Amino acid sequence: MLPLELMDAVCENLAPADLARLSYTCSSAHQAAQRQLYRHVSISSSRRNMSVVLTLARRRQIAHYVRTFSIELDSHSTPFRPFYLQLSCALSGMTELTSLHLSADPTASWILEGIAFPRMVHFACPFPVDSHVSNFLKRTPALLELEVDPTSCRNEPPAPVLASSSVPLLRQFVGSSRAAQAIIPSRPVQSVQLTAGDLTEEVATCLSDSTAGIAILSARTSSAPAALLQLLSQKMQCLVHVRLLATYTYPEAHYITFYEHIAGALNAFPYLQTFELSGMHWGSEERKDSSDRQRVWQSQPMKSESNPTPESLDVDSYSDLFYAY
Amino acid sequence: MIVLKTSDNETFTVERDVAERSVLIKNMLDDIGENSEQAIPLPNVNSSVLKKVLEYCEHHRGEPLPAADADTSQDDTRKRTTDISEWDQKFITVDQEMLFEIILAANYLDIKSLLDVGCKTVANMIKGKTPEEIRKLFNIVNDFTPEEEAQIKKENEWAEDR
Repeated sequence: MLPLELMDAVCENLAPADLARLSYTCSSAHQAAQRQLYRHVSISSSRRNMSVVLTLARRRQIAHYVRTFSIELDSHSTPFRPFYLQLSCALSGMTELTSLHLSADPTASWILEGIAFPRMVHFACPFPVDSHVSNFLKRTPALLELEVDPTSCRNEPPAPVLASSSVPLLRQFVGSSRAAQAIIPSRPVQSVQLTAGDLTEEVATCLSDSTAGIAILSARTSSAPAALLQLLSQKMQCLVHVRLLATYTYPEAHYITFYEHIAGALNAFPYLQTFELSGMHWGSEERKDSSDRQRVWQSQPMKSESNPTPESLDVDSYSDLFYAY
Repeated sequence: MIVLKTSDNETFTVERDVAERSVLIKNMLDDIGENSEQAIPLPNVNSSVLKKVLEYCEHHRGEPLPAADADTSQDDTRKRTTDISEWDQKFITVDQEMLFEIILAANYLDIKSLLDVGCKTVANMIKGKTPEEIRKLFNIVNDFTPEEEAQIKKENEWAEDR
């Protein structure tokens, strides 16, 4: 057989089922196969591979191999508390974990208790920012990307403010406006996607306390868009990509002035490249007379329909750009 | 032209850009300088394997080398593509002993693309086989006790196809 480091290279090309069968053949193949098999673990109730949680809970040596872990518990089957206890135990052994994706019962944040992931850069969970989550984030100093509290209720009290030393490197946030207010200020967040809650002027002001300029912003708002954009152009000068879903209803007769106001507000952003309002891509073109990147925003978005070529190009690259983040 | 000397003391004269598909040889040449007439010793490679390896380097000469920092099994490189180009496939259709020798030589000479082709070929041989078939294929002796084997099966059962 090949030396172990070359067996590792062979195993990189094998699917989990092949790795499992290879691991049964002899102890040296087992060593190589095992390391690869447990490096990236992705499980779901529909794929019926949940029993790996038991293996990982019992064998800390194996849990140590895990670098990325993703678990998808479908909403129909609610696992019992003993399963979550095993999951918590399994997670506690994954000391080298860099990415964790939990799709589970939103009330089960207690499974994070006492767990530390010094190397974790990506974390996604359905939990609100409660005491378990905020304590957990004290123990993930390398975290860059966070998804938390995706569907917060309106009437919940504000989330507890995070300890100032928690997640000092955080770059990307996805979650409710409630969680965003607790997490983003005093952290170098550059990308913000609010999945729930309202981007009010108060929230926008709070988010602008990110220590890095926010470059990407996606949110729903009930505020008047032009006024909100004006505030954003003052508070978040670094914005490059903005996507707003506005629930504000404006008097129809004034829609021309409405567009003009929006365009006026957009022209105040020095770096803005793309803007989308309620699913509508806002056309713009590069300013011809200057060498900087500032764009000229059109005040009649309907124009793009009669003359679609340059704008539609913009639109395509825009959506790609946005999804890349 | 440069001269390579194998473990069984045969010498091969090859063009520099062919030999430099090997990062090891390239680094050695950089160190000893342009005008050395000296043969480069390759004590870990015999002539029959080097002949094969040079055939590969000859065919792939001029192709861009992979960037040095793009290598290593980083966590996010989860490529399970086991596609091998037609020429490479034909090239690597050799007996198992030669296949392993080529892989070891590619590793020693640091020729990443050839190492990839070799490892993918071994992976393709393993795919879909039972543990017993894999043992037979590679002459593996099962050194597990029945208890150990049962234990491992229980641990890794989740990954098997069902």
